[in-house]
Amino acid sequence: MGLNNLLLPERLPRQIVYAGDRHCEIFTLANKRIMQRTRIDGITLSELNAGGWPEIGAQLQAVDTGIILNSDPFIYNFFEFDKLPWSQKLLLELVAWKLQKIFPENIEAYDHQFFRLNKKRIFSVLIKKTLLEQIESLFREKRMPLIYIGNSTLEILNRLVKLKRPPDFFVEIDDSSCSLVFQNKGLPIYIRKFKSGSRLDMAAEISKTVQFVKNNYGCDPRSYCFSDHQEEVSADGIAAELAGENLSCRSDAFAGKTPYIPGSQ
Amino acid sequence: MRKIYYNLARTRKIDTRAFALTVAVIFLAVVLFNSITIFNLARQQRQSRDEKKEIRFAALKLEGLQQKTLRQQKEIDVWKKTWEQKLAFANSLIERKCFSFIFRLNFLEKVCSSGIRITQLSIVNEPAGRMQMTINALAQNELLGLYKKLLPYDLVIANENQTAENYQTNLSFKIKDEKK
Repeated sequence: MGLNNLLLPERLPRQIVYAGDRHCEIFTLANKRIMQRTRIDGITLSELNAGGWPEIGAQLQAVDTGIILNSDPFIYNFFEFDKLPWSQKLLLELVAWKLQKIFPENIEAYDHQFFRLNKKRIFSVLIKKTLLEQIESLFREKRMPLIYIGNSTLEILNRLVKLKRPPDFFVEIDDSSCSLVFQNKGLPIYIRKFKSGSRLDMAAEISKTVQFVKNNYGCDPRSYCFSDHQEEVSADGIAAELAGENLSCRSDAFAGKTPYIPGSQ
Repeated sequence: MRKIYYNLARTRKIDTRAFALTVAVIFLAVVLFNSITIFNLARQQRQSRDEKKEIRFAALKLEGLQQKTLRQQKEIDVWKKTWEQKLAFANSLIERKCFSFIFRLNFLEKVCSSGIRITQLSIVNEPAGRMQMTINALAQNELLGLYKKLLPYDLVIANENQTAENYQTNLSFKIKDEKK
């Protein structure tokens, strides 16, 4: 994949739709800068009904477009093996076997991609094929080239790779949805998604999850950063709560940036 | 951690500019690599040609030396032959010079008794030269005694005459030089 991307680099979209929990946001990019962003509240593309599509479609230009889904429709798994085989075919069989052991649903209904993190660990990502087909069909009907379907959490993870001193974990909040991604020595080790009604409950859940990771993964998460799809002030309440738990928020990590939008500075 | 490329879109597009740049970089790298290779090959070929020339020169020199050695060997053989001849001649001269008359005369004095007179003696100046002599013996037994003493020395009696007064005999024998 890395070699393919080096030799045949993919074009990044000039227009990206972020499909959030209860809102969509359209970003227009030029020269790696966000030139325009339009927020449409109350609709989502990540659910199969896609009732708000006409409203979103009306806002889109007929240029190469991408869509970034929040972590809600995705299923993440980390698999650890004694040693990973070099052969891609063997690795595929091994991961499929491991996934079949733990995944209760029909795997055929899901698009499954996995990534080799190191010599022992695999990061697996699943999403329903029907959702992808529905999104692609919506864009096809609109005769709009859809060249990118990505995941906001993975985009943020990719941004953290570039940081010299990444935080121990990051919190991605989108309305009531919250994703926590913990890292150890630059590698993701644990991801948790949950929904919470209030900011206080969310802070409590984050605190509990930090404790869980501390007890089970042999690391002590201290610093974190937010990626908030809501207003800037929405994370402040959680940060204040977490400060009491001796967790420091590194607001500098993504200050003024939209890390979930590929190709933006 | 390496960057995770996650794009589920089926209709992806290649970034032509980046692709062209990558191809250009690869092309330039290949051209550079080939240039370096060609330069190195040319350098090595030149070096090899120089070395071959040196080897050819050395081989010619070696061949010349071998011919010279052969010629000198032949000359040495000729000289050796000449020197051997000269040496043989010199040795023969030395041998001749070393010829001991006194030893032979002493021998004759020792073997001849008082009744025997040597009237004539000829000595050949050769290491194993034959001595010829004519003797007169007063008595036959003295003559026979001399014969007996000369027998080990390849004695040849040429003639023997008996007169009223004595016995006259011509004889020859070989005596080698005394050992030094």
